[in-house]
Amino acid sequence: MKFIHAADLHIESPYQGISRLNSELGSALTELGKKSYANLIDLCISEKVDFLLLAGDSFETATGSLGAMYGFFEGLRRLEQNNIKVYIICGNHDPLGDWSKTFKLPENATLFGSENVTFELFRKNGAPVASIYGISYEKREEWRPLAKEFERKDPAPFSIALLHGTLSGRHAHIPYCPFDLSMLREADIDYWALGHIHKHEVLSEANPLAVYPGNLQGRHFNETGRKGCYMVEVDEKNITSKKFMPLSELIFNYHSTDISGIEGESELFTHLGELKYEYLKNESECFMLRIELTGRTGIFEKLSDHDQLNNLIEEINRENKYKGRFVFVDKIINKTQPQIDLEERKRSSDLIADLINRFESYESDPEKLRALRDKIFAEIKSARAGKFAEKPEEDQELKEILENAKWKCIGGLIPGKEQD
Amino acid sequence: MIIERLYIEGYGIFYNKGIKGFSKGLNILYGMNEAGKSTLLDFIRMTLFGYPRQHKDRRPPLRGGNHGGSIWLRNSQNEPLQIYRSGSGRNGFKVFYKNREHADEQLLKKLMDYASEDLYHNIYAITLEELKSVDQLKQSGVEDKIFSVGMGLSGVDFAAFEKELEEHSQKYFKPGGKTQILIELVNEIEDKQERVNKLKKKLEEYNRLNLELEDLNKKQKETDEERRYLRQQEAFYSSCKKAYPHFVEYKKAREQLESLGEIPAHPLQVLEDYKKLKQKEENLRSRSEESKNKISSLEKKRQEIEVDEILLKGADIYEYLNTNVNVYEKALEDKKELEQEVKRTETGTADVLHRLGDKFEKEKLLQIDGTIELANAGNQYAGELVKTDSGIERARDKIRELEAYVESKEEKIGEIDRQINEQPVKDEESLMAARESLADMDTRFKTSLSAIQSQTSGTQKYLQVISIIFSFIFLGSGFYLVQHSLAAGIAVGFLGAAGLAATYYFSRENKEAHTRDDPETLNREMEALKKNIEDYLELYKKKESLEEAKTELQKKLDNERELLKDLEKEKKELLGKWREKLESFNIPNEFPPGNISDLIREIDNIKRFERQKSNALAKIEKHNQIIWEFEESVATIKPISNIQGNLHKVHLLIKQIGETINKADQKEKLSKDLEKEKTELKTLENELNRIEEEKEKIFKKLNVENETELYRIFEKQEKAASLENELKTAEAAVKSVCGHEKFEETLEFFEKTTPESISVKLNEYREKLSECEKRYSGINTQIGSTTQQINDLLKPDEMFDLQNQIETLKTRLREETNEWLATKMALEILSESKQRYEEEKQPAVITTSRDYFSEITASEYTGLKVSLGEKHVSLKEKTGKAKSVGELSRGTREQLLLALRMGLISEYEKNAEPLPVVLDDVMVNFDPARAKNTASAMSNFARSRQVLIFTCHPSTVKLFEPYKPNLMEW
Repeated sequence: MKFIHAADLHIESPYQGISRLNSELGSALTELGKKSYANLIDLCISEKVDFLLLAGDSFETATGSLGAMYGFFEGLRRLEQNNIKVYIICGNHDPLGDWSKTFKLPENATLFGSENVTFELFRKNGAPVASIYGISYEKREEWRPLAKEFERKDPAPFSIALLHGTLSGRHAHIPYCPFDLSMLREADIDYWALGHIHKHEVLSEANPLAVYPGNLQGRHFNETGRKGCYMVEVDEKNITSKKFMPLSELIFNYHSTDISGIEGESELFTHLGELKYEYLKNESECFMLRIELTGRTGIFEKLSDHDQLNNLIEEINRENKYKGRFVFVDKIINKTQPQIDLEERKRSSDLIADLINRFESYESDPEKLRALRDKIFAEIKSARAGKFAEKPEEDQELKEILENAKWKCIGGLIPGKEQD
Repeated sequence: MIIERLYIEGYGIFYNKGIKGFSKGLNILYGMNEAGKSTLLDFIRMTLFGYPRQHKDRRPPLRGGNHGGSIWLRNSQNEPLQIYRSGSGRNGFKVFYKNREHADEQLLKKLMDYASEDLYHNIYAITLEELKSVDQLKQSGVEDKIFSVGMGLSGVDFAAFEKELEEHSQKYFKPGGKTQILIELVNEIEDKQERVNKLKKKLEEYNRLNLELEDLNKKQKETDEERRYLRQQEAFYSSCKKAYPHFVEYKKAREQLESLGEIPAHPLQVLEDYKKLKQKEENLRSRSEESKNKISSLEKKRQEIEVDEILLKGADIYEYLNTNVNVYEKALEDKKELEQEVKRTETGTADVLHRLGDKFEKEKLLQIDGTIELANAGNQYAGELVKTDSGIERARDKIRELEAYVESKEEKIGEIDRQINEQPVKDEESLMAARESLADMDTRFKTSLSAIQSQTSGTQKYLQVISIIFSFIFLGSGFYLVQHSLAAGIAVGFLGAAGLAATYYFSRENKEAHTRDDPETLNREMEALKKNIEDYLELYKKKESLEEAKTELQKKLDNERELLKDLEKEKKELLGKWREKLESFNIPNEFPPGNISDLIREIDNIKRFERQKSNALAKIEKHNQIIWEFEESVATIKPISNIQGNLHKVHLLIKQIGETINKADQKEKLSKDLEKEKTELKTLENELNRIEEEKEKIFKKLNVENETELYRIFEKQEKAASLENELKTAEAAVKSVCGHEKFEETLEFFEKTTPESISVKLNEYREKLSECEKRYSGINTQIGSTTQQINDLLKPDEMFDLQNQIETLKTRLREETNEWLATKMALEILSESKQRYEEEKQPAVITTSRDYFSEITASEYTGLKVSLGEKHVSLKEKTGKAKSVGELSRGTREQLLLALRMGLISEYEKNAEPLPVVLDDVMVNFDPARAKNTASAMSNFARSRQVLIFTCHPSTVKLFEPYKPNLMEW
């Protein structure tokens, strides 16, 4: 028996955190976003799997996109034409209560309800070979530990459970439907097909095997690396193989590079171009890149200038063609060090020293910094421009803004003197 | 810190330069223009704070030496230290402090209390250029400058920087603004959000349409069922309506059948047979009647036809005559034409022979073959003969021409001979004699001249010179002529030489003989003799030339004659060969080759005439045969005299024969038809008898007497059968409506109902059905429309793309908001620093500066006020009147700035290591009084620090003399 386990498809959920988008890139991202689901269906058909497991968040009901739902159902219909069954549960992004009543599931698809954990038997040549258990979210928020409600009560030699939840202790995500490994073991299920966490991971290798396949396609820079599904082969009772199958053709990635020694913009541009070229050598994937610059450089002030940095990014992306493979630089993060030694400079007793010290006082006092933020933000919040404005809350982000402010002052008040 | 001395290894214009003797307090460094003041200032700055990265700013040594140098200093703790810094390479820094060498820059920075290079530049180094730049600022610029100075940012326009930050932040957000970055992003997000919201409605719409579609499908099903039922009812009553008349027929047929009673059944076949016999009988009677009539008609026609036996005999050859009469006529015509043609060919042949002449015979000409070869040969020989004749002609012309030339030359030579004969000097002999005579005369001439020469030696000498000149001319001419005529050249040359000799001789002898001869007479004679000689020589020369030319011409003439002979010989040979050629063809050999084409043409003509004649005669023979055969045939039937002139009679005869044949054929045919018709009549009569017998048999069989009775029986039988049929048909129609099993029932139904009530019901159901069909059609249309709407909704849209764009815009909004926030933070914190500086530091700076300014202006200004809020600087005169910076003179503004710098330095050094203050000729624009006051203030200022004043003005040096500065000339 062979099956594929996927989760968090998030079909046509928008990309987030991308700083710039032109119409060609937008079209390319749209296509690539749809492609990962198509790749999943193609994989099921080409591998002739017995069934597909979808562990929640297949699409985003909040977006209200008819196209997303329709696209999802069309994929199920393709599997039906190839006699491949599909077992589906709903997650927090596609709770059962939000599903459109007018979309009819094809005959090959089973959508588990939200009242109780139920199971379906999968038969081959008339005999049951696997049982699949599942329960859906009725609403967006599900805090109950639903894993406790799973209990094996079928005659099939192999059992699978579909659950959309969070392993206790993992706080990177909203901890809906929390569970721990002991709950999974107690249910006497052979394979836990999990969903909700977008990074693929094997939580438990055996007794039971519990897998997060991750999502099909990264949607922002927090979801870097390759995305896909898991393909599992079972010989009666035993799992003979499990394999991560990458499906996404667009990869979000951070890349850090040391530019010490680079003293001019042209040189930097060439360096970044070479970096980009290395990524372009990949023949099957496109990349969205954020490049972090480190090291000590004489062009630190230029890199601190918001407009100049934007211009540099535009230049790097200018020659991109978005048909086929491309590498798009979304952001350049300046983590270089200036050549001015601020520690020395602040020891003087002039205004500049005072300024540096003042900035440092804000940096070391988050409360004070937040108060400054609030004072300034009050100006915009009541205005129309502040309609969608979000006050930066994270200390780290505030510190970066403060750092930017500091270098605006220092760069403007101390003309660039480069000493030996 | 104070500088004690410095040493420059190589830096700018300096090479191996040491300056020592610096001290605390005032140091005046006096040097001429171009001495290197600014170079020295840069050396101090770079040694203390480091060399700039740009090579061009590092002042590389121009006169050699290692780039760099050392400065010796003493700090405020009175500790000595030495700084060495190299201008090239990274390892060129050392600090010697407390008897140790350090390579750590940090130590130096620490010793200088971390004073930065820009701080030094902005505070401690005061230059004239900087002061001058202040003069160009407007009032607010000056105030800004003052503030900047007050903050120690002399090199930066602080206000401009603040303004730049403010403008940058306003690019992102400005209260009330509508075009800033953030507001534009918000507008864009809202716009796209609106579009997304519209697209979201698609899902609702989709759901609604799907429900609508379900409902419509349900209605369609119900309506369809109703429709089926109504159709059934309509069909039933419609059939009833159709079947009711059948029911009526059924009923009627049944009644009539009953009324007929019992009828014996005879096979209908018997009736059929009888009818057939009857029919046959009628036909036969009709035909026999026709036959009789026909026989009568045939007999009449046969009698009317008469046939000519004689013409009938021509029936055998009628076809031949009919077919060939035209051929015969054609043959007669053609024969005439051919005979004319024969005559023409004979005439043509005679003409050719006449043209060619008696020497040509027809038979021989006809035998000539290979005319092409002959034509080619003729052309070839003709061409060569033409060439030869042309050459002969040309040679003859040439010979004539040359003969004429030779004759001309001879005439000319004769003429010259005649001229020579008339000359005194006419031959060699007379020439020699003349020359001798001339020589003698010359001697005598000279002799006579020499006598005269003692009186007139100049004249003699002159003549000698002339003589010598002429002699040389003759010599030269002789050399030249030798190249053309040896004799002439020698002769002339000889004359020249003789002249020289004579000149010499006579110059010696003339002295003695001058009294014997008259020079003039001698001279004349000599001239005459010379002329004779010259004339002879000239004529001789001409004659020689002509002789030569004539010889040349004669040679050419001989050559041409030879050529002519050759050509004539060649021509003769060609003509001989041509004759041989003609003889080989049996052609008279006088025929020129150029005309051979004509001959060949005539030969061809004769041959052609002969061929034509022969052909014509052959054809005539054939035509004669045809003519004879035809005429013989005609004669066998009916001879016609002069048949060739009476062709119309021939045609008439043929026609008559044809008509006779036709008549005979017609008569034959009529006889045959008559016979046939009689036979037919006989047969018909026999058949009629047989039919009569058959009819009797039938009557007997049916037991009837006659035909009438027979028909009556069968009518009755037919009627019964018809009624049976009607009954069955009606029954079948009724059964088709109600079904076989419901037949009786239906009959009962029909018994009880009426056609009118059936019609009413039928109409009723039809109406209902029509309405139902309309409803059904309407539902189908709605289903189609709804399905189409659903399909339209499912077409790919821009929802996903829009949502991506919204997210990107939100990200950008966040980033730009952060950029705005950073700019605003910068402004805020900058403002805090500035405020603090203005509140805490600036007052002390202002107070100290005010005092220095007051001293410089000799208390003309006693007050200096800085308004923090409005950034406004004002001064108070000693009279108490307030004055703004803009109202100050240029010099006073400079003084104010100088005072501020001094105040700032004083304030700075309260908490930091003092550094050497450098002033670069800053007082040049001060009036003497103010300059003096400045010197005083400066000396006070220098008490607690080192001040280096660079100047190239002796007046400046003098100003400081009262204060006993450390004067250093360099």
